[in-house]
Amino acid sequence: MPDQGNIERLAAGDQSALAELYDLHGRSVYALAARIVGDRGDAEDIVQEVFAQAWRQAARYDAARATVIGWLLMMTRARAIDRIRARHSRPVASGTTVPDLADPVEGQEAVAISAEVAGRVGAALRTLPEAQRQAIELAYYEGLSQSDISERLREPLGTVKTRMRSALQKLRVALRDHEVR
Amino acid sequence: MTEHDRYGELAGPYALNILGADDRRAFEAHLAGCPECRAEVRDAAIVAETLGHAVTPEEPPAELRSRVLAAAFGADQSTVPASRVVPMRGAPVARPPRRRLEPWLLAAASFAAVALGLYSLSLRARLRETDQALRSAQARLAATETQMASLERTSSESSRVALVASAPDVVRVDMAGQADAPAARGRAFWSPSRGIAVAADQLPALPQGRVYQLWLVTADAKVSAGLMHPDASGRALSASQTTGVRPVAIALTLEPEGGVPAPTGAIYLVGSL
Repeated sequence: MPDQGNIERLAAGDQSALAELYDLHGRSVYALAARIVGDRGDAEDIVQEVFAQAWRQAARYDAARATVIGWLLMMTRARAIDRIRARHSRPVASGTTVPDLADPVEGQEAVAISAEVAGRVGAALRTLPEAQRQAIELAYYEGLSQSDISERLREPLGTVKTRMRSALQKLRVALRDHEVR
Repeated sequence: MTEHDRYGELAGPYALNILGADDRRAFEAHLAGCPECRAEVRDAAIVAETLGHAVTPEEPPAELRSRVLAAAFGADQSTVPASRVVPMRGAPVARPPRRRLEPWLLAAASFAAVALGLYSLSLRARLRETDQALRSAQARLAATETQMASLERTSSESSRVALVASAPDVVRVDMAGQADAPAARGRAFWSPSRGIAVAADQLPALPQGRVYQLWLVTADAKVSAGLMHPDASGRALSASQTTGVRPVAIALTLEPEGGVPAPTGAIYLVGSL
């Protein structure tokens, strides 16, 4: 239960606990938000919303279900995907300045842990065949349903379903090998 | 095609939260009675959680921090019922957050406490030290903006160190200097719930293009726990939130700049649990 003490202080209304949470995880939340929405201004709004939500809902955090960073990233993804869905006609920016998956990890001490995990997940993603990786990325980073993905890629729905399932299974095996949890 | 065959393919999309409302309801009804699907959902949810980590963390604009905190505390106060009842006078005005110690100042103070001697202080003594350091840090606050900015940078690392060192399940590990640095000493704090913090002393200056890298050595792997850069006096401080491993030893090696996925260089410090 990493960060458990921090969350308890958060739930008790300790404002410095939120500052600590931001110092620990703000970079990961910001990077994921920017990756999904493709726009830095929107990403900053989402970071603000996520930490406000964490502040309000700390008491609901359940260590048995997710790590603290996992919980924050889950909220980040949900809000970021809501935002891109709400854009309707606005096309999703193709992310010129947004960090790519599995960027080489920079030797920054402060981000060592997240970078380490990012490296492992990135490595696992790279082992997937291109078509499987694409299906997973469209589902996770754009929140597309399987029918949306099938339209986007002009592939039969059945093919998309099979690819996604085997991609998830392969990633699970790869992560287990790396003992991520 | 059995019922399970029909629903099994929905486990992944369900965990990724990309099912339409109808499919989700149908799948949840099936899920209640299908342990196989529950296992598949759990596996896919673990993958989904880690996908969030696949994006390399990135430094947000510096001013975002204060906006995030102001927004959180401001929003919190606007939910106090009284502030909603503001008839006919435009939007309710959120009261400014209560004036209290700036979190970074608190963090700076804990850095001072760490520097003063994290090694031997009990938690209570450390709190006293923190309090004193806090006052002296407050006095120094009058100093220039640039000083504040640099303090803020170092303090976030040391607040992480303090967080680990104050964990209820923390164990202390002495690390001894090896052949390349017999005078070097290290003190590690390992908390299964919060991660690892290390304070090292008398480390040789880094050669060009090299960096110290910390490792949690488990029975069958060596897990990186971050990089260390000693200051001019050979001291270095580092904390990492690495958890979920069972280290049997903690080691510091000299590696190429940027760090490596597995240790390659000489061991400078090592201690076993």
